[in-house]
Amino acid sequence: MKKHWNILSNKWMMSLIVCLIATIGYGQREVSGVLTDNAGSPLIGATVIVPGTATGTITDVDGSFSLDVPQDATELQVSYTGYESMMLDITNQSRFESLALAEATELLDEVVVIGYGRQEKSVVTGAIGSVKVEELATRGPGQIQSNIQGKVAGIAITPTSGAPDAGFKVKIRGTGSNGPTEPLYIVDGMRTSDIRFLEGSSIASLEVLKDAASASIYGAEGANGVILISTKNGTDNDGISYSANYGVQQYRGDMELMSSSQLADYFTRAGVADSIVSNIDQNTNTDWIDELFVNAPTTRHNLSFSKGNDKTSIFLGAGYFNQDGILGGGDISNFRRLSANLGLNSQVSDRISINANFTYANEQSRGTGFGDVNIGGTIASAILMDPSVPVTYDGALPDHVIAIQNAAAGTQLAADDNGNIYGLSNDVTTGEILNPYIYLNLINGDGTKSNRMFGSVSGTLNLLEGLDVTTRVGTDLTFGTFHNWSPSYYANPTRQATAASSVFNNFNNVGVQWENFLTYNKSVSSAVDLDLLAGTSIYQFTSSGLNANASGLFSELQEFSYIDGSESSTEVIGFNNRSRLQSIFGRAVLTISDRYILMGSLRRDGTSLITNDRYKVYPGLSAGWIVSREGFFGQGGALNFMKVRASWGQAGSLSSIGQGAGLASLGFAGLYNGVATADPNSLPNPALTWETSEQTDIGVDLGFFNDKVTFSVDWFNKLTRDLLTPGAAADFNGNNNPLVNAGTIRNRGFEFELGYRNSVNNLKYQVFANLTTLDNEVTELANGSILQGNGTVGTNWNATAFQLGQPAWYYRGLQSDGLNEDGTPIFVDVNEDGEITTDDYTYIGDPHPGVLYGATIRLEYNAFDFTLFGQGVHGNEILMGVNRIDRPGNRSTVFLEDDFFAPATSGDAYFSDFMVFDGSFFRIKQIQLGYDLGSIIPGFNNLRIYGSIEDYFTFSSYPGLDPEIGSNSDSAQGIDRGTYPIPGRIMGGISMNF
Amino acid sequence: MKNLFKIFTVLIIVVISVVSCQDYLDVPVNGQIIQDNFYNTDDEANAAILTAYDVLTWNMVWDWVAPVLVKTLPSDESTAGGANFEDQLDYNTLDDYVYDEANAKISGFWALNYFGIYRANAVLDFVEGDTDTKARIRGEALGLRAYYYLELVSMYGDLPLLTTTLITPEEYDRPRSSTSEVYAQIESDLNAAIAALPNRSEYSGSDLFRLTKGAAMGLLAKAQVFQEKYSEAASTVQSIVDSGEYVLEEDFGSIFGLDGEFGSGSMLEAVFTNTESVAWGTEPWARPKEWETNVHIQLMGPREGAFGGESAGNNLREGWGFNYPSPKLYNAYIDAGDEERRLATVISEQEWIDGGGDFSGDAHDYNGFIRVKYGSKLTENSTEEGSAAQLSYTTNWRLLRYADVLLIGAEGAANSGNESQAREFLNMVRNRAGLDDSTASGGDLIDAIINERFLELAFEGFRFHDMVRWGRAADNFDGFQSGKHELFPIPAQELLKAESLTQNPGW
Repeated sequence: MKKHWNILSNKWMMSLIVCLIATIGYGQREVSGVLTDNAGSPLIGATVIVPGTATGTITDVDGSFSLDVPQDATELQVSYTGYESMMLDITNQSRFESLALAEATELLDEVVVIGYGRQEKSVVTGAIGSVKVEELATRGPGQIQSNIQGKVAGIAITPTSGAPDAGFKVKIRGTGSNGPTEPLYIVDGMRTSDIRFLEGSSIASLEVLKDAASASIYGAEGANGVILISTKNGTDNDGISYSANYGVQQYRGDMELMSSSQLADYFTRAGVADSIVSNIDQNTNTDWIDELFVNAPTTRHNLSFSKGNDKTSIFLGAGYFNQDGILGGGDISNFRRLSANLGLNSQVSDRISINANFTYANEQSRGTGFGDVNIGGTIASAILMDPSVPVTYDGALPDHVIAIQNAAAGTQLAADDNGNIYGLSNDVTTGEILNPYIYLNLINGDGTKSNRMFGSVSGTLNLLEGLDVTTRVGTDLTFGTFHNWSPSYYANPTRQATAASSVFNNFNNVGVQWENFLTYNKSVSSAVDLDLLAGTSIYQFTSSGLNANASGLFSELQEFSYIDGSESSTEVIGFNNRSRLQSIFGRAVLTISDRYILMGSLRRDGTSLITNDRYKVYPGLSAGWIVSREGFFGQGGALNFMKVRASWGQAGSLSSIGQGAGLASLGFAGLYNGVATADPNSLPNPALTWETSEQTDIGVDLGFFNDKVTFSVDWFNKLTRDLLTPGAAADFNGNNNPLVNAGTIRNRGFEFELGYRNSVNNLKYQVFANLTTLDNEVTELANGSILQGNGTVGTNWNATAFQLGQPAWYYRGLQSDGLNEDGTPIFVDVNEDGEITTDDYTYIGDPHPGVLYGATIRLEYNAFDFTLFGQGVHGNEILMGVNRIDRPGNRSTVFLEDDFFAPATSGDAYFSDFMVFDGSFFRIKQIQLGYDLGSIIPGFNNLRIYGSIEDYFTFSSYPGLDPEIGSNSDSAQGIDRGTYPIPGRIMGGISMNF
Repeated sequence: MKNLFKIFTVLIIVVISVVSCQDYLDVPVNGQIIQDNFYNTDDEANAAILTAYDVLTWNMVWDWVAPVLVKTLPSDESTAGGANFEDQLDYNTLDDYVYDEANAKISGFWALNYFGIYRANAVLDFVEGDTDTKARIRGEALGLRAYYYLELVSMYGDLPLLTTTLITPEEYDRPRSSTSEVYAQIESDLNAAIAALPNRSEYSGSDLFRLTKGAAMGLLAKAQVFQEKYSEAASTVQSIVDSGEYVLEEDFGSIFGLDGEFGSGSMLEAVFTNTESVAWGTEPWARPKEWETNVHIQLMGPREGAFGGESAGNNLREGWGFNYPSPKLYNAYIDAGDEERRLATVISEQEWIDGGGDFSGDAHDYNGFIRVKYGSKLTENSTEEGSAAQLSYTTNWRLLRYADVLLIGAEGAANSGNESQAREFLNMVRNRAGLDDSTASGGDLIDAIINERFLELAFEGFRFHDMVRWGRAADNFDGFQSGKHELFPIPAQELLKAESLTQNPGW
């Protein structure tokens, strides 16, 4: 070993001497040339620099460049986006005629991040989707998931609502559970379930592991796929970047509401009592949707600094993102994020390298949960509210309002900041259906504020040639508060509060992970490469906090809403839960003759969530054959690349299992003889375990015309077994049923990805399209049981169910069979008992799209660039759940004018497929036009300005606010209870590097 | 380089020790009582046995299911009532013999008793008898388990027989054990309970709700008679009499009032309290195990609206109209000249009106008589602020009375040839009601005992099973089909969930 050190020392000495000699010969000379593409067209604006210095230039309209370089310069680097960069040896040459840059053949040379490593894309044997991260920073939405939507085949991403801080339901290859189906996020090696803190411009790569062989290296948490994100570490191109954009968001739906006269006419036809119809003031017409939605701004600024050399690189970034909501504006719904991130990579010695990536984010959000409320949502109120009522009264109060004021018995009627009382319906709309501004008036306070520290540090030690050991510690800390207070108010007997109330919660989430792994990379012979991985991982997550609420504020002001003891009553509930994971894993990749690839992996995971059988082993196997590298494969044909691959594996999902699940435990179930009892909660199920999904994937990757055209197709079949479902123990077993592992769900389908890139003269164009087919079915469930979801619609319709032979959480209700002559609906008597009852409920719709697709067209012409991106779903259905069945006065959407809803008593229509609509839609997500001023204004490598419109045009037949229906509830997807619509945006922005 | 290898070695050792450490995954589960950590102290054992008792009062957990009412409605003592036939439909179908396997009262009654058995089994599985208190609590659990099985076996016949809570999902399906096996378990449990339990006189006043040696013997006597082990039953009852622990209350009318709870002739009661007061708007519909009051008393008051508020002279107010007495029952008292027990059991419409009540129009299933036993009594609900009168009755169900046991003894003696002993037991009950000694013998003596049970135990839930085992149900119950209605059907849902279950004959 000592000898080795000496050799190294000598090398260092040598390079020092070389440097010294080079410095002695100081002077300048000119190097020039002409740059073209393969077809001979000039490349305009290509960068030509002396590596490691600030000396450089760009090519002109003829592709020519001329540069004064130091005498000692030996190399010149030529680079151009979309082309292979090139090193020119200038020691003996100063003039380069017609330099042809080869177009980048991304498919072959891209490196993709895989679990605990990297792999060249050409030899990947699993199904891994990559997202082009350059696009992440230029879009309006601040969260990463919205920018993956439509970009990768096989992933369905639905925002839970259009609210600025709303989360997403991300489903990779279908709905793989009756419970949560969120993928695992791995950011710089650290696991998390929430990536809202990430600023798009700080991301270096984003990969989606879709097949089980790729995801099984993440074992117990890989069943729903894995999204791998790496943040930037700095490059050896020094520079400062700044980007900013500003946008205006607006409601883009076209839902029509009844006018006062339409409503009066409809009520008359529907047989509503005259006494109510006559309360409709036909001289007043309020369009509550117009009144509720406002134009709202979104703003983003990013500044980053990157510096590096061959030993150390560093990236520093700072970001500001603010999005106000179109519902009520920024005071009501808002998301703001301040973030700073650091990426550091250093080769400390020739055997030790260290790496650190940290992000700090300060987040503030308000207004989650609008709309996704069964009864009394703000948006549902706007849809159903009496149009004959003004937003506020600015003159004398009408008689009915004076009567309500009297009924309020001293509690103030809700009023705006100027003291004008909010309009109240004269018994036309009643109960929870209110002037939506009264609901907005209940939202005060700070909302959710949190500080997040996320990151990891790692050190890698090179032990022998090809053998490295890495240790990595990651942390994920969130400390936050939630605060809201509501004044006392009176609207009607159902909606009132005689005292002000306040909620102030504190939460702390601490995740800590420590991983160690050995990697060994060895060419066993000239034809055989071996890649080995073995490692360990432990992870602990602690969630603790206190939730406090109070009523009777000292004074109805924010200052007294922090539960400081002056309230008349307070209640505090605390929690402190901890879970742990303990894992070992390994993987071997064998590459033979660069064309046969075999991969096998194993992971053994243990969890603290359950007590028995805590450990499970997850295997993964895959193989690939690069046919185009065979000797028999003719060169020079249209097909230049062909790979066939297959994978199989198993992975688990812990997210559906709760702490202490399956344990025998006791709770309080009342008193006996006045003394507290201790009641066994349910039958124990010590054998309870978590779900396992098993997936087979077969795929083909093709490249045509030197990869100008690329095409991939995958077929997958994913079975998720051991679903956690309520047991089917008969009552004689003597207690409530525990969760048992009884159920299988199958997702299968095809994924297609097509890429086409070419250039004609100065026009470069690229087309990327993807299409996925999905088929979802419950293939096993105990004893014909039907599970009920959280899909309560109206007062008592449980509209979603989970049942053998059906898609997960399909809509279940009455099936219609046309209309009678009098306009009343006819329903199918499914059980043929002569009556239409809840026993006739049957399948009436599927919330899952059968087809997902997305397409991007990108054009570049000289300094101009243009992007058109659209995304759509097909074959799913939406259940419109905003209508109040029990209150005839609360039905004012225009499409309900159809005759079948008359007379008003035919309430069964609201429990039926009359409320189910085609949910297919196509949305143009982005139209962007950019221009790079970098070639005009000196001093900038890049100075791009752009304008875009986003989420602006939607093609759909759905008559509600927005066909993109989100819900936080896994078992109530696709139910529109007045969902916060996705706003359209008009954006303008700038980005620069200097 | 050496240092690097040292670091590497240390790292390997640390990693291996952490990864191989099984304890790493042992994390406390906060906020839940884990069974393995419970059932240790006397207090914990007590909280556990209280749950096993509490099930006796879980009359709202499977919607409205009070065992006493479920057992009473198929008999000839009463009609279901309510607002109409659809009001508590499954109580109404039970009354009219048009019920089916899906009847929610039948499945609720089944579930309630099995939930009680589970909670008794939990005590027997996990409470060790290492202190006097815990040994007694184990005795209580044995007695309660026998009580619940006796309820089930008399209404359903053969039963799945579970004597432990340690059930794995593979054992969720199990076949029915024969009636004789169930009775063998009941007798064995009761004999063990008799050995373990104190006499009633050894309990303090606040513990009187607990199973006693005498109660276990009373239940044993019943189990013996139900199996036609007549002489054994007679001798069991003789032992209870000889113990001197129980005395029939002098005034029959006092037994069912609040003041009569845990009276000298009371052997087992299901206890309702107003500890957690209930007002309109605060009913624990969503947490039905936390109903502490007896809402069925309100359900069983004469139908509101039809009966004009209250009849102060009879100490009764209106309710929701269930469980109206039959004319046959009223006439039985008249025929027997039994005014003392009648007035504490059933009154006529005229008596209601004379007491200040009103009757305006019709009431569903009403036949001219109003029930007093378990009546909605003006003086038996809470007057606390924050309690709704209608929701705060705290009347205990009398599950086992000395008079019942004496008549069981009489039946045992009469059927085993000891008529004088039979008449002795019978006449104790008759005399308390102010009736003369019976001198009947042979078939007349049996008839006298049967009639005495009718008069003494009306609305207490025994008549249906009594008449079935005496073979008299078909002749007396309208709609009763022999070969079918002797037993309740096994609930339909149970048959779906447990394939090994079989249905009763005729269903």
